[in-house]
Amino acid sequence: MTEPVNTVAPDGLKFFGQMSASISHELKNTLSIMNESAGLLVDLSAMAEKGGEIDPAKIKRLSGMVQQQIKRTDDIIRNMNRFSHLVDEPFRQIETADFLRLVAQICRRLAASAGARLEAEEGGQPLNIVTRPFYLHYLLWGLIQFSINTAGTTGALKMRAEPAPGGGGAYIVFSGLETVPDNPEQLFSGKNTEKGLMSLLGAALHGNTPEKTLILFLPETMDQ
Amino acid sequence: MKPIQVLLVDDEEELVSTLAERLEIRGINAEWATSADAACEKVSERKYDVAILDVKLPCISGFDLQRKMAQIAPEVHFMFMTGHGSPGGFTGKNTEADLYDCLIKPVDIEVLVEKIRNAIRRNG
Repeated sequence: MTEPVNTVAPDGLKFFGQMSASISHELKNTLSIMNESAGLLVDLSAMAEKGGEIDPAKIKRLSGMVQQQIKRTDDIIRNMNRFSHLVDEPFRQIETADFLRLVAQICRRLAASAGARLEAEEGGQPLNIVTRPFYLHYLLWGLIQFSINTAGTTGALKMRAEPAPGGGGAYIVFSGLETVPDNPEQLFSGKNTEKGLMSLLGAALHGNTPEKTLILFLPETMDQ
Repeated sequence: MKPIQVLLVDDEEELVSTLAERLEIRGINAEWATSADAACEKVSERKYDVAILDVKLPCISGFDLQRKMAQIAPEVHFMFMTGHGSPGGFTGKNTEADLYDCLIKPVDIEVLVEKIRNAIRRNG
């Protein structure tokens, strides 16, 4: 029988490439804004040299725009760095709410391209689990895609972490969905990657049809 | 001579607003839109010579938007902007994309102006 890790590895590389490409597009956008802001400052200076007037408020606005984009770029690079380091160790302890924030930031642009706003809701008490962080990120992206493309979203697609009732792990709850089947795992029939990811993570998926939420159970720890 | 009318479409407002201002300084009348709906509304309201679309817009690709806009205003000449690393990232694969001028972000304003003027010359 094929090991789950062998099943998901080729697509895992594709996922890593997809996320990296999305990040690079976002960086290109921030660079473009800085390029045009700096270019406009040069244009205005050239006009001033020819006797035109410079509006100090405009200079301030453009400088502020550059500063904002530097901050945005720094955030993108920090997230990219965290994402890249997910593959460093096969198992690691994560704080679930913090992890969901990272997933939301990394996937936000791709979700927006598909027409959805992605948000990570703040959790209560810190909720730590030991898991395979790279594969968890990959599975969550699969569920985000399922939510957008199949279930449909109403406003923002939200993710939150909460302790699983009775302990033993964490629930990742997706809300803001239009419809949720009772047994969403059946959607993975024929999808070996998703099934492999669920198996690798010891995860279980179920739907709460009345509340229109999709719930992913993740165990507190894993056999390493 | 009538100034060239350009419409810039990208969901990054700071980018299109600043780029529009720089084109205005160079004698090109530029307006902008940050969504597909706003872009379609603008081309249905007034005449543009050139529309420059981002390849990746929320909910719709620049190429799909181009088809919608061309139905409303077939006389518009279209160009694309992309955050891809090189034009080969999307041209050469899509015969439709290969028909258009594609600019890589960050855009060189002088190259952009030249492409706009060339497009107007070509279209008469």
